[in-house]
Amino acid sequence: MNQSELIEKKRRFIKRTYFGVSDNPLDDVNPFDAWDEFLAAKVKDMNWGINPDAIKRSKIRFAYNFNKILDHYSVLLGLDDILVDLDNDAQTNESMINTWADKAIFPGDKTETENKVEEK
Amino acid sequence: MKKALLMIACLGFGSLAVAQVNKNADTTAKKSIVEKSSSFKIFDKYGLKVDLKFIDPEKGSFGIDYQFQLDRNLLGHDPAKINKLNLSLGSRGFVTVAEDKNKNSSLISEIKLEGQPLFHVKGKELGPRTPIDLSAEDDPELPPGKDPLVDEARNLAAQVASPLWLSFNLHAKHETTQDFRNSDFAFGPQLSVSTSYLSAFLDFPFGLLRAAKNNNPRQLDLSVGYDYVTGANKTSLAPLLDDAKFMNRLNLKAEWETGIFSGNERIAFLFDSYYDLDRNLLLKNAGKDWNYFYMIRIEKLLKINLGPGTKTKVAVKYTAGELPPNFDKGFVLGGGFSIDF
Repeated sequence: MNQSELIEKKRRFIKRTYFGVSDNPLDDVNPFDAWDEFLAAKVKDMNWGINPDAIKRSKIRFAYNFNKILDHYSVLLGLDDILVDLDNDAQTNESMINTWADKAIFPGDKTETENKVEEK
Repeated sequence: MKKALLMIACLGFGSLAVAQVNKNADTTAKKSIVEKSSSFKIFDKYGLKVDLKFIDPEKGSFGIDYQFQLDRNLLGHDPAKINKLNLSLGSRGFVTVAEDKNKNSSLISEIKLEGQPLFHVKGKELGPRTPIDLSAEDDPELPPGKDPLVDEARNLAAQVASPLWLSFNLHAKHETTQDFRNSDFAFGPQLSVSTSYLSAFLDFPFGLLRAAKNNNPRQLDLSVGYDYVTGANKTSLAPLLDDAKFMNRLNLKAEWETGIFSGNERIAFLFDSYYDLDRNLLLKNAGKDWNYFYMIRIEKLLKINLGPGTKTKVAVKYTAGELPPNFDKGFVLGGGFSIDF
């Protein structure tokens, strides 16, 4: 698998898990049922809430669940990394997914420390 | 190229706005106005949202609906932990050019120190990890409803989700009318709970009206706060307070939403109430000891392809009640069709 295929696979994985976790039957913030609408929508278009405090709490709950589920698949993406992007309401879901896919450490990815050791 | 943010609210197919306002706190006389209205989103970035609203187009009356919030993390920089201590600064309100057109003259600016979240009940453990295999083949054409990984993530989220979250804040609020002639300060703590424990009960009637599987409730948000209010003698409540400057107030808030009908309709409820703990008789007799504000919104996402990055929806929103500092009665029923670019 070449680099561009690998990036595409990572993005697809993040897209599918983001969709599923946000569509949690016990805390549903995802109003979409098709990929194109979901990807083109902005972060603020998700059903996070009405009151700014409720929106904040809703995003924290999502970040917690998303982080746990990615970890279950051995994909590491920090809570802060998730929340920072969720705070950028004006970006599209697609743009956020791409950012998360770039930030996340997937099984087989070399960590920063491993890269430094290899460079030496 | 920067995308301009613009919301066009067209009320062409049956919008209605009804407003009723009680100007004086100690009278029950009400004034009714039926009007058309429309709004334009003029800014939505960096935590600041500004909508331009035309409330009486024939006379050229319009106003600005604004809301902003800035947060700074003070404690809890560990990326592995969800618990944080934040300093939050925010303001929200509606300002009209013609002052007498303002049905909800309430501008609230607030500074908060918040433990967000303070505590949460842990969800179920997920068992051994199952590392993903990125080289495995999958069908990119599968819609989300038929994608096995989406379904698996949805089920795992339901297992791992915490059913109860607690947050806490200490706040100081400045509550004023738009002309700043009536204002007060309120200080106090607030405890907030987000929970899915009551979802099955609350969602029961809506579940009966729902066909789609992926249109479920969001967790219920409940807040209980105490406000020590100073400067109450500078509000229209003053004649009811026996020259007292202070009030002890309980603030209850609730917010919840769920899906109805097919996959694209949602109903949302917001309730915000203020209760006088001093049990002042004059306030009670004037019906001002328990003031509340609520909103009911029904929204439908429309599947109209107007190009990438656009979202179309139709919404009907009903708001009624009283807001600080004066707690003047008012209600607004509005509906509209909007396009988000």
